[in-house]
Amino acid sequence: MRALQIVICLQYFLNIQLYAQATETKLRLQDIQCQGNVVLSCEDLKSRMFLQIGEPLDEIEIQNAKLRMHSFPELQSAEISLEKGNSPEQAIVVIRVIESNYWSKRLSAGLISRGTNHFERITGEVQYNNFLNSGKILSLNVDQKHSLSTQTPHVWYSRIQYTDPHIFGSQRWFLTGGLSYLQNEIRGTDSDGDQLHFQSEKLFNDVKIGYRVSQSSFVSLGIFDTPINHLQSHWTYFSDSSQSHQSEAPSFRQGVSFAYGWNTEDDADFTTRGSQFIASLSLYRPETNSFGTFYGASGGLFYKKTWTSDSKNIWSFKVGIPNQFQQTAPLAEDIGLSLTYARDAKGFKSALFGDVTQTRKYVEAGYFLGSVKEMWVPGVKAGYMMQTQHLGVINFYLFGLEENRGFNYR
Amino acid sequence: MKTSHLIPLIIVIYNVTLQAAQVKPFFQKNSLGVTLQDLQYPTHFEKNLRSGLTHRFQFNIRTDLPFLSETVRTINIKYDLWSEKYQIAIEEHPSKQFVENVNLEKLNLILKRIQFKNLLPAKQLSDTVTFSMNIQIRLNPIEKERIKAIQKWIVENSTTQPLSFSSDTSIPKLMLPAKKKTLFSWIFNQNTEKMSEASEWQITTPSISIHRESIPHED
Repeated sequence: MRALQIVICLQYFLNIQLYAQATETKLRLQDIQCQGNVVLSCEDLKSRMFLQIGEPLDEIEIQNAKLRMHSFPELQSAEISLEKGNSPEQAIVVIRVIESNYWSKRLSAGLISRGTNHFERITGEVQYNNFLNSGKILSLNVDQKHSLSTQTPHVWYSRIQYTDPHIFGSQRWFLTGGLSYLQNEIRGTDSDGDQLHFQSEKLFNDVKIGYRVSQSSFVSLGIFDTPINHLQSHWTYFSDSSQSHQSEAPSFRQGVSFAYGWNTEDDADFTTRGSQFIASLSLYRPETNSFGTFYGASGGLFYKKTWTSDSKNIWSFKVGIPNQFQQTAPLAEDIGLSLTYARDAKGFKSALFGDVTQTRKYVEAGYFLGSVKEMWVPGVKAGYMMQTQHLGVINFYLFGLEENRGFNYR
Repeated sequence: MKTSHLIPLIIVIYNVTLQAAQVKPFFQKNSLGVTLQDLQYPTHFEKNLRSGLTHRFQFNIRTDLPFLSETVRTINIKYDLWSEKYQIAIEEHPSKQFVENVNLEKLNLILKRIQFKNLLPAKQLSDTVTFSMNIQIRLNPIEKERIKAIQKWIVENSTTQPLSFSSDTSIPKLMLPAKKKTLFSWIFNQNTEKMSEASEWQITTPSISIHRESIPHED
């Protein structure tokens, strides 16, 4: 009986030992090799794994590294495996990656109806995510809006921006700098019957430095400037047909901006959950013209919350308060208080778009910013989004706003 | 911009109710055990096994019995690069089984019919008791602390811009990450849904109703 107990005990300890052999590797790391990388260097990939050559292989760290690599935008996929080393006690870690396309593109095209005024608007964005071959980001945005029935309004906006996500390798500090051009012309009659003509051509440059406060939030401090020799801003009011008055509006050119915000959305374009928030404040340098000295300050608020019900129905609530000095900006339609309902569908293949991997239909209803004056008008927007192989994210939409008391263009 | 091929697969599998696997209780040596038969493993599981890295399955066996609400068993599988055979360690109670150097055919046979013994003494079950049982299966479970640590590292080393906004409009315009949903976001979402652990893949068998008198004896 005692012998049997000893045998059982020995068997038990043998089992434990064998179990340990299966879960705790005795392999040592001989080398790390990379496959599939074209732009990224193997040294860069290796730096994302905390493994030391010659040390015992840490499988937990390999699993962690795999998860980390899956989150990087420059990698479409990453797999890690072992291969034989020079002896059974040694192993080579092989990282197999498929690099992402460093170019990301977005195109949006819409028809907008504001009462009796109809417009087309086309927005495009091209972004290169590996500028200088070092993970810096260079992007170009273009936004164009034009009336389909009259000569104005015509808005042309373009911006080129450079971003360093990690200044001097810092994990928390980031920097953006950009040059923007805005051309804007409006002719029309406002709700009081006054005729108005507005022309503006501005060139902005700005630099912001930011600090990541937590995993998803940040603060930033920026300066901006509008070089005077590129600025034309001209307002003309006609109180009746026989008399005209020309006013010289303050054209604040320089200032500083502060912002705080967060972003916890799970996807850039096809968001299913998470929120965005930003609160910004701009302080302008005082300006003096023939009407006196003007002091400028403006603030903006934006909040968007997205959630999913029943795993299919996607809802989004959005509210934004615009900067009062910038109300004629090309993106005026984006500001408002609205609720969006969306549903995703599977993709398809197309000769024009290539592989369409995801689609989304959406309807947005709410109150949106009016044309010129500070008024909010009801509106409905319906759109269709696609994630395409050739053209990036494409968004087609129709947008109708009730603006019978508002501004009439001519 | 494209999602890793693994992700939609994982999500699809996760959302599908497991129909093929069978949960069959049995008595052996006066103890209750359970057989998990015909489990559908992830599509790329066999290929991934040959990575040489340990794959760990965690089985959470749950009943509505007051004295056996949940018990955990694990299976570790590792492919030996030199012998080109698999080593399997099955954690049982109170000991552990170890199967060494099996080929793929034998491995599949073992995984096709997994037995967990000694869940509880048979005498704890009255002759007329009826109870329900299901099994949640997880592949490579990851603790919440590890996820948080990885997430922190990712945020601090991310190359995506946090956000910016146009100076012309002061409308916030997020500089959106180019990356789509990732394996990490899948795992992270599990974590944010207040699960104690996340995993690369998981599935739960349908709950079955068990009558004590219908449980077969395999002595």
